[in-house]
Order: sequence, then C-alpha cells, then structure tokens
Amino acid sequence: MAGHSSGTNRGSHSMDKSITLPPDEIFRNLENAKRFAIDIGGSLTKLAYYSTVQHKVAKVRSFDHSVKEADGDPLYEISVQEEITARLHFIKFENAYIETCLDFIKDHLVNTETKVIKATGGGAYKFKDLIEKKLKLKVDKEDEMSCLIKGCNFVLRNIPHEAFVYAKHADSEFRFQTTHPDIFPYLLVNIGSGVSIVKVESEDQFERIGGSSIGGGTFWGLGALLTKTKVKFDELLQLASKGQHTSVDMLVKDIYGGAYGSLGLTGDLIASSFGKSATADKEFSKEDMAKSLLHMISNDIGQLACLYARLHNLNRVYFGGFFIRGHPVTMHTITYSINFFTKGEVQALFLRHEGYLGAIGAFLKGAEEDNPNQYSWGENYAGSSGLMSVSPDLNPMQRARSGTFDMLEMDRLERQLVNLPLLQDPSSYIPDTMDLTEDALAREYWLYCFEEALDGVVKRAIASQPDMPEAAERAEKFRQKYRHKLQTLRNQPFAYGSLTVRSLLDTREHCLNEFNFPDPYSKIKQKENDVALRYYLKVVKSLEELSWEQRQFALVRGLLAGNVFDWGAKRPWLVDAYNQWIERLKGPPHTCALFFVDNSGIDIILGVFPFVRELLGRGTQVVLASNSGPALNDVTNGELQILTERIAAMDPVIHSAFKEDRLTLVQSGSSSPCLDLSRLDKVLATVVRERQTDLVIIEGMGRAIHTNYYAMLSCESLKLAVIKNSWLAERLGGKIFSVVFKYEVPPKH
Amino acid sequence: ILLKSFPWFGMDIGGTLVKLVYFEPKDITAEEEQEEVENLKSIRRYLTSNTAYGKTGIRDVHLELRNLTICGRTGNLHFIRFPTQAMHRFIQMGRDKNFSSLHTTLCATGGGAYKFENDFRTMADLELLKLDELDCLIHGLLYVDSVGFNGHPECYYFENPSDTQNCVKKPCCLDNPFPMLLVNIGSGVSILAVYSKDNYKRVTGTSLGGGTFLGLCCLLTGCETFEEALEMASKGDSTNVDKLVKDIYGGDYERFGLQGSAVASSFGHMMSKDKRESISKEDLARATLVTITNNIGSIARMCAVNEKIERVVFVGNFLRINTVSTKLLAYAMDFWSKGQLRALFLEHEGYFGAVGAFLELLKSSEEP
Repeated sequence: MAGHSSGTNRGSHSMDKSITLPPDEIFRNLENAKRFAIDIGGSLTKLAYYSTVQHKVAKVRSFDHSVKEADGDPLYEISVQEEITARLHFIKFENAYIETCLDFIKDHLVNTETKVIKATGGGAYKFKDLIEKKLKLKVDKEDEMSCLIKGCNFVLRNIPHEAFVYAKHADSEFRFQTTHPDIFPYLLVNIGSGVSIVKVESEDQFERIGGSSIGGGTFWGLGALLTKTKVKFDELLQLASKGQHTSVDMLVKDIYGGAYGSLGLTGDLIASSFGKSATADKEFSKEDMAKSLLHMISNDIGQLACLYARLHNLNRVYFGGFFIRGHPVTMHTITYSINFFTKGEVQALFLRHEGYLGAIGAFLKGAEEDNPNQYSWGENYAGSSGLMSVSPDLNPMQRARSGTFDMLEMDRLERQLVNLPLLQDPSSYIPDTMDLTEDALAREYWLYCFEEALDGVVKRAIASQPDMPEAAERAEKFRQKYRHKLQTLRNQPFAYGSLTVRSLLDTREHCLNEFNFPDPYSKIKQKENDVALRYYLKVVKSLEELSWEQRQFALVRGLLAGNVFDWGAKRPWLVDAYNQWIERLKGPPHTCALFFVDNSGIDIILGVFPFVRELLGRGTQVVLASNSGPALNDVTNGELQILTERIAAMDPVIHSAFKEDRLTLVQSGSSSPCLDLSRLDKVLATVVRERQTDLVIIEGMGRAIHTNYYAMLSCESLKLAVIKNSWLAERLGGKIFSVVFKYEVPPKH
Repeated sequence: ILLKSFPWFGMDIGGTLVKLVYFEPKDITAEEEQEEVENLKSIRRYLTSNTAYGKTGIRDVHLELRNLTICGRTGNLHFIRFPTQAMHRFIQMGRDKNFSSLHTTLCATGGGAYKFENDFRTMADLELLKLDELDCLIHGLLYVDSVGFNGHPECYYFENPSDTQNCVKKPCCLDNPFPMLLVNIGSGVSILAVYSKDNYKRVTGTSLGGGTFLGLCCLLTGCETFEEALEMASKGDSTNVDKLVKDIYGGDYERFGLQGSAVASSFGHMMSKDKRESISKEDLARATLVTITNNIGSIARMCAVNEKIERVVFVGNFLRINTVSTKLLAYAMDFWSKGQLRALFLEHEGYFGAVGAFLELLKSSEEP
C-alpha cells in the first residue's frame, strides 16, 4: 500500500466517522492481548482475544498481635494492591470495518509473542491475505462446525442465562432458561445458507446427523428472485414481516372449506406453500411472497429438527446461524413450527451469544495450552453490550446499533464453580426470587431504586480512596457507566439474561471494579468490625446467663439484627417457623451446618459467632461460607479469617473448634451480595459433601430474600432476614422491617 | 345382490386437480340397453368417445383398466382429471345433463367434497356421499394393485438408483405390502404409516408439495401449466442455481462425509445479483423441482426410519410424467439409507383416492 506511513491516522480518522465509540473503548486491553481468533461471516466479523487486566484489589492483612496493641489501633490493615486477572474479549462488527479495525489492532498490539491468528467462517479465505499483511500474523484456519460447537459448549457452561425461549406476544419476549448442570446431549440446528443438524454428546464428541439444503440461502436467493429486487437479507425479512401469506399459500380451508376435523388439521394450516400462485392471471405483492417463503422455510426446518430430535431422543434443541441471529421474525416462525410439530414436547431454544460461537470456538482451539476449559468464566456486565432486540421494525436502539460494535467480555474466575451438592433438583433451581424481565412493576421500582441510590454509591466510592485525587473523576465515570447500563436495561431488560435484583447489584459491582473501586466499604467494614469485637465477650456472657429457651430466641434475634435494634422482638413474624426450629433443637444435634454469612461488623461478630458457638456446643460442626471478593459491606473471606483468629484469641470455645477444624472457613466463590447456589467454589462443595452437611443457614436480604427464598434443599435449611425495604415487604405481604424466619425440612422419601 | 344403478363414478376433489374414475359396463344386455334412460346413455357416450373434455378435462387413456369384473359386472375403468378451478363448470354440466334424475349416489372424497358439497346441492340438486380421503387412498391403492394393470404389475421401482447410467424401471409385486410408508404428493404432502387395510396413521405432512413446485415455477418463469413447468425443468441445470458443497469447500466436506456434489443451499447462488442475471428459466424450473423433491425425500426417509418401515410408496399427481422426481426419490431413499430403504411407485399415481371413492359406492350398494 502506498503512503503507508499515514495509514494510522487515516485509519483512526475513518473509524471516528463510522464508529460511535472510540476504538480504544472497543478493543480494550490490546496492550496485553495474545491468542487472537477471528470469525468472518457473510456480513459480520467477530474478533476474539485473550488479555490480562491489571486492576486494584483491596487486601486485608492482620497486624502482628504478639505486640501488645494500644486501644484504638485498627484491627487489621487494608492495602490496595494490583492484581492481574485474565479476560476474554469478543468484538463483533460489520465486515466493512475489517480494514480499519485491523489497522487499529496493529498499532496497539505490543505483545510480540503472538504469531498466529485462528480463523474460521466463510470469509476467512477471502480476508486471509489482508489479515496476514496487516497484522503480520499467520492465519490458521479452523473447521467452522467444530468451532461453533466448542463455542456453544463454552457459553452453555459459563453463562447461566445463555439460552432462552422466544415468545412473541408475551410480556417478555425472551424467557431465559436455567442451564441444566449437564449440558449434554443436545441438538444444534445451524441455519446458515443451508442447514446442519448436529448432535453434541460431550465436549469432543459430536456428529452431523443431518441437514437440509433449504436454509437461509434459499430464503435469500429465492426471495431475491421472487421480489425481483436487489435486497439484503434483513430487508427481505422486513418485507416478510409486513406480508400476508394467505394470499399466496393454499390453506386447508381453501381445499376443505374449513378444517380437516378428523385429522385435527385446522383450516388456517398451510396445505400447500405457494399453492395459490400457480396461476398466470394474478399479481402477488413482494411482501406476501416473502412472508410465504419465510413460513415455508421455517416450517420445513422446524419439521426436520423435530424428526431428528425424536429419532435421537433429544429434547434440547438450540437454533443458530445467520437465519436466526436475534431476528424476532425467524425466532418466532421457528418456535411456532417446533410447537406445531412436537405439540409442545420440544422447545426451540436460542442463545444470547449465538453470533460469537464460532469466534469463541476458534479462540479456544488456539488457547488449548492455557486450558481455558479448566476454569470457570463469568460474563462481565460492565464490558459486555448485552442482547439487543433486532426488531424488523428497526427500533431506535437498533438503528443506533448498525455501524456500532457489539462486545462480550468474560472474566476468568479464580475458582472453579459448581452446584451446591445439597440442591434438591439442580436442573430446576432458580436463584432469583423475582424475575424483573417479566414483572414490569417490580422492574420499574428496582430500576428507580438503583438510580436513586447511585449518588450515595458515588460518594462512598470517593470517600473510600481519600488519598487519591483522581478518585472523584473515576467515580464520575463509574456513575455515567452504571447510569447508562440502567438506561439500557430499562429499554432491554433481557440484555444480560433475566433482569433481577442480583443482576442489578452485580452489574454495579462490575462497574465499580471497572473504575478501580474494588471495595468502597473497606474502611467502614474495618471500623465496624473493630467496634463489634469490643462487645463480643460481653454479648457472649450475657447470653450464657439466659435460660436455654431465652437464649435460643436471643441468638436468633442476634442473627436478624445483631441485637442492636428492636427488630424481631414481636412475634409472630411475617414468616415464622421459630417454634418448629426450637422443637428441632430439642432433638439430636446436626452433624454439620453450612452457614452463608452476610455483613461485616455487628452482624458477623455479635450475631453469627454467638449462634455458631451454640451450634458447636451442641456438637455440630460449622462451615462458614463468605464471599471471595468484596460486595457492599459483606464480610469477605480474607476479613473473616482475621476476625475468626481474633475471636478465637478471646473465646476458648471458638479457639478449640477452629483449631480442631470443627469450625471451618470456606470461600463461596462469589463477589455478589446475592447468592447463586449453582455457582459455588468447588472446594466448598467438597467440604459440604465430606462433612455430611445436614443444615444450611442463609442470612440476609440479598442471599435469603432476593435470592434463594424459594430454593429447595435436600437437607434442613434456615433462611432468615429482616426486610429493610418497604416495597419488597409489601410485596411479600408485610411492612418494612418484617422478619422472615423460614425453617424448612425436605420431604422424606 | 342389489346392484347400485349406473352410472358408477368415484371422485376425488383435491386442492389443484379433480380426479374422476368412471366404470363403463361392457356387458350390457340388449334388454338393459333398451331400458337405459337417454341421459345415462349420453353420459356414457360422451365420456368414452372423447379423450378431452372442454378446455381442461383429460382422460388418461393409457391408464384405462380393461375387462375389469367388479360386483358381477364387467367393463372398463376410465381415469379422468380436470383442474379444481373448473369445478363449477362441472357442477353446471351435471345440472344440464339432469344428473339428479339418475338416482345415483355421487361418492366424493378430498377436501373439495366438503368445500363444494353445498354447491352440488344448490346448483345441481345432487347429494354427495363424502368420504375420508386417506381411507379412500389406501383402499383404492390396494384394489388397483390387486387387480393389476391389464395383466402387468401396477407397482414398479428403479434398479441401480444410485447409478444414472444403469438406472432402469422394473415392475414389481406388492404382494405383502404391510407395513408401508405411503407418501401422497398432491398440492401438499401427506405421509401415512399403513399397517393393514384399515389400520394406518398419518405420520406427518408438509406444505412443500406439487402445488409449491408449480406455484414457484409460475412465479419464477411465467409458465402456466404443470406440463410446461416439467418440460422446462427437464432442460435445465439446477447446479447453476443451487450452491453445492464444493462451491463452499472446494470439494467434499470430509469432516462430515458430505460429497462435493451435494446441494448445500438450494437457490444459494441466487443471493448474488450477477448469478441471478445469468441463469435461465429452465435452470430455475429444474432447481425448484429438485429442491421440492429432495425435501420430500428427506422427510419421507426420516419418517421411515422413525417408524421403522423399509418400504416407501410414493403416489400422487406430482409424480405424473415426472421421471426426474421419481428417479431422484429412488436415489435419495437408496443413497441416504445406504440401501436400507426402497422407493416404490405406482402407475395410477394420483387416482387412488377416486378409485377408493368408487369402491365405496359399490360397497354401499351391497348393504340395502
């Protein structure tokens, strides 16, 4: 290319014109990027790379307690450290931008170790030379279908709300599915220009069991011929969505005059596609023909998919390919067809990240030495665009989107996440109590709530870093980002799967981390822990003076409110199983209790520890599960470690239990104020199994009300919280500060 | 036996075509002839002395079953068809010929028996005996197969279906026909699993049938009739229209055992404007025919496997004068099942419903 020296400027310039976001906000963390993969389809390019992110984390460190400390010295030290974590970046853009994008990447690519770029998709051949020339990387082609399946396995395993059912006329078009813990076997129907039907039985085992030549290419090609226009695929879909197929198709009622009752075929059923167009003396509109064609092809694919699903006895059928790719029109017609042919036995499932599967798969093939499948990954809500509704009526969001870039970022989680072994039915477990995607009133309320709370969060974030002058500026960026996310979720509640209070909280945590506010509450937590510790022995002593019955009540109240407020003094509570719990306590002790703890300070020190102490006294082992990373004022595993040591130093009961491993601390694997029992640290799961855990205690609003309120466990469980939100309390039939004390015993087999 | 009075008809009113069978008694005695009313005689003469009726009615002379003995009478069975669009003219003719005075029962099947029932009543004072089309189809098929085709077998198949050079039509017997998968390709397609004369179920159906082929061909090429469409298709080349596996992968797609010559995307080349401008009407007609036929083959094969039936019998007027499709179906069954499935065809492809309705007339005559 002549005049290449000016290429950089020209590239950036043309990108500025065509891309709504500055390129460094799209191709993030390029400096450390390695292991590139690219999937070039008919109209969209998907780029994938692995990068490391350096960000700040709050660490706590115990002081040396051998030295006698003066009153007023802090309990432990908080330091902000740099930590490096792995992140996967996926970016989707129109093929038209390939060249400018490659230029940008080339200019920012520092890592010289990278030699190869994995490539897949039909366009990989076409752009091979361009990529090799621009990036100086060798293009290594990978088989399209194996990439697709590798990518599909990856998203199904790592993104909880990946799959959804599409319902055109429902309040929420997208109904997200809980992923079955065992994702195999499933059927993947990929509708590209033709159709491939693939049965996937395990990570490496899959087979193309069938296919059809009538696919997206048929719709496009035949559609272009029939409408005699030079149309794009999307335009053809748009035409179809405006048409009436009944003027072109021969329906059952055109032949019978009504329904064909004895066979249960309704009059509106299509008997013969294009059956009415076999005439020379009639003109048909483009829209009507396109609609008829769309029905014909969708029904045909649906029918074949059902035949194959039945033959192989599979009921999970995922649809993908450019024919589907988020188009409500085709998702609707395919869903309709599947319902018709299976009478509802099989549901058509679609994937939120369907467009990325090939790129993810190609990337994974190139990254095998990093063993990406050994880790659990989590979608980063701050860095991911989320699902857009690509309505054919081109809503404003969609219009704004064409010419922009879509992103997906996945964080490598430090721990492998698995199901809690004590879930009654892991495949039907839904963590969240309320689905805000479906409940418009609740959605309105919570979005408003989080928006209102934003000022406070920003202030707290700034206050947590008093020594850093640019904190205010970063906090402002955080505010903009989170507010924008809330705006997006208002328009597209389905953007990151089902919208829940948990996802709103998690999105906020992700955004805070993004702008290096790893733990805004660290100082507050420190202070509160410090104060509470001073009262520990006093509280324990006063509890010991009570009668057994009185003490049990005081312990429960302590859990609910840390004994400070008058909450919970008056019974009956909103949900009150206290009597059953006391009866149970009169019986044999539990073998082992798993306790998911909540807040720092009074809650953990004056509420949880005395309660734990009582359990230990009964001969019950206790496993305390706390967050791996910070979230609000929840106690983290690091903090709890120090607190336990300090309490052990004061209290011989805790001391001996801790020493003898009758009291154990584990990480939950989460950094959320809520709790997803299907994604917990593997170590926790092992400990729970080994110790024959027969009691699970979950405390606090986030873990016991917003999530897990309806969770069914295979052992006894206690869920307790004070509802500190009047709207939610009313929803549950109570008032603010109502108490929930749920004690559940699973049905005996 | 109490014999049903003449004329003996059976009618199948489909979405596109009306199929009519007429029994012409050849053993009429002089006495009978004298008693025969004038309009009955004129109907017989009109039907048997012509091979075309009006603009669109046609008698398939080559299908005529001769010297058939049925219910004690001997005669010839004639096969006549006309477009369903001409139904009202047909009813008018019935009125003009004063058909209602003959006191015969008009046995009719197909959707049109329901749709036009009221028109028969009000326009021609005729009551239809409506019969289920799938019952009629199976009864008619079994009957014609049992009487044979004027001394020859009714049924045939293709030997060496996977070898275009040596693929030949061979007659065969359907002595033990059950279970069979019966694929009836009319305007749309119905697929039945038949276990005995009266034990069958409709497995599925598809709206991509003969009506789709003709409808699309009319839109794409401006042709007007099935014959015209087939004529064009016989001269065309579908590989100019369809995208083959080799067009995408440069050869076979070995990972999945797909041959380079397999169609990857029907009409796939037509996504490109240049290609759209370079193809002929004949190519388009051929591609339409191949697409529809392959799709029916594919669904039929899946049903056969799901229902565990090895014999697949294809009938319906889509197969009339359509060797491209019959050979393609024979090939598809053989190739994709690795020789496990056999495609069978019948000479009277589209007339079995009408024959079934005709048989029902005689059956009702046995029960006074």
